Amino acid sequence: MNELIQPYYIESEPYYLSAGNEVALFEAAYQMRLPMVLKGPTGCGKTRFMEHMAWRLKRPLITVACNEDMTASDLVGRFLLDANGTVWHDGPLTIAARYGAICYLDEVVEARQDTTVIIHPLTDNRRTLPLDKRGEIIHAHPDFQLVVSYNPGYQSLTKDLKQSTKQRFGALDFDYPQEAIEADIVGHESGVVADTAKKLVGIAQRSRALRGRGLEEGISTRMLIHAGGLIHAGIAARDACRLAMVRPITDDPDMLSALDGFIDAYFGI
Amino acid sequence: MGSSMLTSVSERAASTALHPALSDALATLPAHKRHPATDDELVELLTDAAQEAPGLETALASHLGFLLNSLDIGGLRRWILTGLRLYPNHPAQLAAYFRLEDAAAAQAMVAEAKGTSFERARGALQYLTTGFGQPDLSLAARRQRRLNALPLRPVISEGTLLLPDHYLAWDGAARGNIYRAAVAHALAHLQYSPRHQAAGKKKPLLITVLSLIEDARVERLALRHFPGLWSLWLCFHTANGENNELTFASLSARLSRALHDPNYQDPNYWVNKGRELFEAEAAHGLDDPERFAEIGKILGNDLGQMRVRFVQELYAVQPAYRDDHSFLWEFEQDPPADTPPEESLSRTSVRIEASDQEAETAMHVSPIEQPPGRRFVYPEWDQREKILRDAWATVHDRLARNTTEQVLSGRQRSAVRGVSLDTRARTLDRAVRLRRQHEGEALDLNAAIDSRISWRARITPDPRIFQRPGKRRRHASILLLLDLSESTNDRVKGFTSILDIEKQAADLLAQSIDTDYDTLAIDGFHSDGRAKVHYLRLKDFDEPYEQPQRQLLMRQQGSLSTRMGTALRHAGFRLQQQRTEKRILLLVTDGEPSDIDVVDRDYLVEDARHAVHYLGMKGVTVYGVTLDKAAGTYMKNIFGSRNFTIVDNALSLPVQLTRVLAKVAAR
Repeated sequence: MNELIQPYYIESEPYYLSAGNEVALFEAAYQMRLPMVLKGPTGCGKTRFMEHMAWRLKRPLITVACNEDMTASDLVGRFLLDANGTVWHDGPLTIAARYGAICYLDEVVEARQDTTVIIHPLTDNRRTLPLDKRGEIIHAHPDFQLVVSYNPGYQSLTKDLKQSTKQRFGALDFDYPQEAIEADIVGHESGVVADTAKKLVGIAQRSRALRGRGLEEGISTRMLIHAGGLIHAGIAARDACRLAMVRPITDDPDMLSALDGFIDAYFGI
Repeated sequence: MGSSMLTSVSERAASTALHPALSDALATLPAHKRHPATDDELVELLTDAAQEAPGLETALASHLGFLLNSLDIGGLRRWILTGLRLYPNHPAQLAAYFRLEDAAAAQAMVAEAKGTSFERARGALQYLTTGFGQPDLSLAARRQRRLNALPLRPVISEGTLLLPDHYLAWDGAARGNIYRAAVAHALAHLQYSPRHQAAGKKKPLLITVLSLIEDARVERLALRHFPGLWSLWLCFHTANGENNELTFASLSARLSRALHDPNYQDPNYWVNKGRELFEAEAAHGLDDPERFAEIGKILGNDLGQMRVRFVQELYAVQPAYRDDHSFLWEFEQDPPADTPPEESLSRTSVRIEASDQEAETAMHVSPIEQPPGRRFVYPEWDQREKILRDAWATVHDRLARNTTEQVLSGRQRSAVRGVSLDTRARTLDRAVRLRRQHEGEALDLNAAIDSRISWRARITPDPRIFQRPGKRRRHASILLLLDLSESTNDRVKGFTSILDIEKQAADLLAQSIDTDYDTLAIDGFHSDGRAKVHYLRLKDFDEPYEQPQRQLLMRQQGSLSTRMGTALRHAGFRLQQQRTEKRILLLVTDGEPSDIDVVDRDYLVEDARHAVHYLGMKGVTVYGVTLDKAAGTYMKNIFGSRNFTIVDNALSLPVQLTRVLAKVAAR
């Protein structure tokens, strides 16, 4: 049993700087094995937070990146053919439920709704996972917990989660951290000096004011870390910022010009 | 059409007494260089140029064709102006410039060909101001009236920033960032400067010096947050003290440079004194404008004693990106007579010029006889009383055309096949089965059996033994509802009215629909009280979009008011009768809902919100697009935070509308 689940344990502490009391809140939720939703814009630290909590709680973490083509079998498991006939392989959700890991479904709204209802029996009192194709019902391990995440502002192709799904969860709102904290994170993760980190955060904040007015999403913390990494490696600040922060998020020439203007306002021309 | 156009321009040229050399040059321009819309402008420019440089018309005409090859009219204007500025009192050299015998002429031509005009930079600048925390600041162009007038500078007010419609390469436009520098400087003033201080009896020289000091102070303050601006502003400080000129223009420009750049050295005592005083004060803090004003007074006094002459009419603030300081001062007398009325700044959130008389007279053209329409009665929501009043508003729905006009029936392909709206959102359809897949939810029994058979026969089995459901495109019905109220007659940027822009947007949208999957209806509405909400059907769902529909759309005029909720309900009713999977209602408007019989501003907003909610429950997606920049609160109220868009730059509405539709259809 342990060989299957062993690779999912997190060995060393993932760096996470808390913005509020989310760590304590999540720990309390875990004590109750309350299913959780992490909501927030892209690149603001949800997955990192999850890794940190899994390390802290010493539970293995199984992450599934959800997408529209995902079927219920992708989560639960399927029969595969091998030399001896058909063999059942557990999916990530089943493994987590059997062996007591935390299962983290990232970007859950991307999955189709007939896929997401699979999680209903796991997320209420029953804590069971029926495997119809095998005729088996799994009772979730006492340490099992389900966590999902999504980006509420993202105008995604599929609809929102159904209310019947939403109401089974507790939720934590994530947002880009406050200036000083975000600068600390960027500095730590990328290695740049504090002054440069502050400037990168400043540029990101200008871009976030344009959300909904030409940009779908502002520049995320993750992109700042990329830019910082490049600067730390010796690339000129302006080039690093354009590469990592501006060029990926928009193709509109006016918006590109304005974002370049923000970079220039901090780093000079 | 071509030749008659050319002759009429030459006639016009002759009638305004254009010098024969110039009108000949115009007439010999190749036809494809001439555009009816810009010919007038060109003639006007050449007339002005001839006035400024009398006797030099032949020289100007000599290379006109060549110049117009590389420059548009704006570029040509800037090029001529650069010449006039370079050689204000040297007609011989100016003539050489016009004949392109001067190196400066060639350089200027190259510079102006790449020049920035305000229009090109506008979109990016608007994003800049929003990002820097001033989303409601509108940007507008300040037009040069006379050709060789004093160079224009930006004008700041609370709601609007006027920027020169072009900067000369001479002023620094060739450096590319001059508009950004101007905006950053203006934002610094808005953030840190005391506004409209009483000028009292202060002399113009003193006012100018005080403004200079204030410019330096706010720029320093801005640099605390945005250190990169230092190098941006630096490249426009071009004054130097080599010749130690003692004119006000030179001294003040050099002082500005000294205050900005610690590496700049100047031989002049006054400039260095100004720098020392400023830095001493800055060491204590930059926040108190009064203390810096004291420095200004000392320096102004010194200039008086040095007998430096100051002529206000000939002075333009340097460096060129800085504003004209009208924001800082309140003068008792009226503004100078030659300030054009359009430049008095309006505080409305949509930057417009008052609607033309022309639009009103057009309304009185004898109307086409309208066929009688049908009446529909809708309830209305009263937020205060919290009741839904039945049968409160009456909609007069009618076809917008004469019934005797031919209507093509049946679904035909429109002549322009635009991009299919919605290429990604496909819905699962279990009726479509994809068999023999590598992956899938279920076993494809036939394939599985074949696989077993192969295995038994010792042949490598085919691994594609699964099946899964496929996807198909969703069908959508889209109803585009246009606001046809009086306020849409207001003009944006000169000649186009908001209504014209709405029509263009509708036109573009109608052409981009993929008629294989989606149907589009275009309707308009305006209201005259609750009993007369006029609803016009311009294009119906099953009509193709062809010339008659297009002409009908373009004929519409704006009038009356905007009773949004009722119109939405009726549009929703029309949409509900379409049996498609997605039903989308797109509303394009330019302002708040309002009507003549309603005083409470919130009443109609809340009613519209009720309508949107009701339609949402009936399966109609409602999305709002507005041109009103200050619309954030009520649009969010009515449509919800995900279902509206504010279009800052009205001219981009057509493109934005197609994007919005693609986005909504893909949900």
